[in-house]
Amino acid sequence: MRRLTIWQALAISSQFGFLLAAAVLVGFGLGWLVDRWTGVGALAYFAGATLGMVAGIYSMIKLVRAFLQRRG
Amino acid sequence: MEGFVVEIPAAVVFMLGPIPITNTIIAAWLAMAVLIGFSVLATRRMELVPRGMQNVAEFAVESLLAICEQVAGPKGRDFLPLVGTLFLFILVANWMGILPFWGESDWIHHGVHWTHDHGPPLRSANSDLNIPLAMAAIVAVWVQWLRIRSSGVLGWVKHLTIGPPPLLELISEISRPISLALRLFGNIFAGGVLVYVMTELTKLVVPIIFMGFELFVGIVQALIFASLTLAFMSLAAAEHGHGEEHSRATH
Repeated sequence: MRRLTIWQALAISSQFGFLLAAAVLVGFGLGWLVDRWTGVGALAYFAGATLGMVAGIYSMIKLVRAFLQRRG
Repeated sequence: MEGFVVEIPAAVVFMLGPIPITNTIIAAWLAMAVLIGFSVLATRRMELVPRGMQNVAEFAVESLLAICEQVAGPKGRDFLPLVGTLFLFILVANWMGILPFWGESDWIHHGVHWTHDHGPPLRSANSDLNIPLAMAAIVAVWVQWLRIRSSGVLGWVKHLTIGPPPLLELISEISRPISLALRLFGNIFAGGVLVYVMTELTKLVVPIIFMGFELFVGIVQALIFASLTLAFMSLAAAEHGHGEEHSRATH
C-alpha cells in the first residue's frame, strides 16, 4: 500500500458523486430494459437502481485500490 | 442584469455537408493546432542539452511519465501516449476557454445575448458534452480492448455478466466513461457560466479573479481526467496480469 497524492485524492473524491449517480442511472436503464422484456414493472426499476448503487460503490472501491496498489 | 442567456448546446457555425460544425469543434481544432504547432517547434532542432521549448516539452513528457509509472508501474510507459495526449488536449482546450472570443468570457461582445443565430465566436471545447464523451468513449474502448486481450472475448463477456460479482462489472464499465465525461463537462461548463455571470454583474476586476480560478480548475480537471484514465487502464492491465498468471498456473 502507498499514500495517495493530493491529485489522486482529488480525482477519487471528485469522481465519487458522478460515478455513483451514473451507476444508478445505468442500473435504472437496465431495469427499464428488463421491464420491457418481461413486464415485471416497478420491481425491475427498483432492483436495477439498487444494483446500480451497489455497482457504484463497488467501482469506487476498485478505483481506490487501483491508486493504492504498488505496482512493479 | 437583464436577460442572462446561457445555452447548453453549442452554436452551429456552419454546415459541412450534413455535419454541423459547432463553435466547440472549432475550439477543439484550434487547441489541436496549438499542440501540433508547439510539438513541431519544440522538436525542430533537438539538442542533447534541451533549451527553450524543447525544455518545456521534455519537462511535460517526463512529468507525465512519472505520473503514469507511479500509478501503473513499468506498464505506465505503455499508457503514456493516450494519457499524455488526453491531458495536454484537455489542459490547452480549458485554458484557451478564457481567451477573448471564447464563449461566455468574450468581453468584446459584451451585452449581446447569445443565441443559436448569434452565438459566441468560440466556446471552450470541453463545455460541450459531446467532446468529453468522445474522449471517455476512446478510454472505454481502450480499457475493454486491454481486458479482451487478457481473457479473450468469451472470458470478457463472462467477466462482465456472470462476474463474480454478477452484473456489477457491467454496470461499472458502462458508468465509468459516463461519469468521466459528465464531471469534466460539468466543471468546465459551470466555470464558463460563472465567469460570464461575474462579467455581466461586475464588469471589471472581479471576473479576472474568476478567470484565474478557471486556469486552476483547467489544470486540475485535466489532471483528474488523466489520473482516472490511468487508473482504469491500470486496473485492466492488472487484471491482464492476473489472467496471464492464472493461465500459467493452470497449464
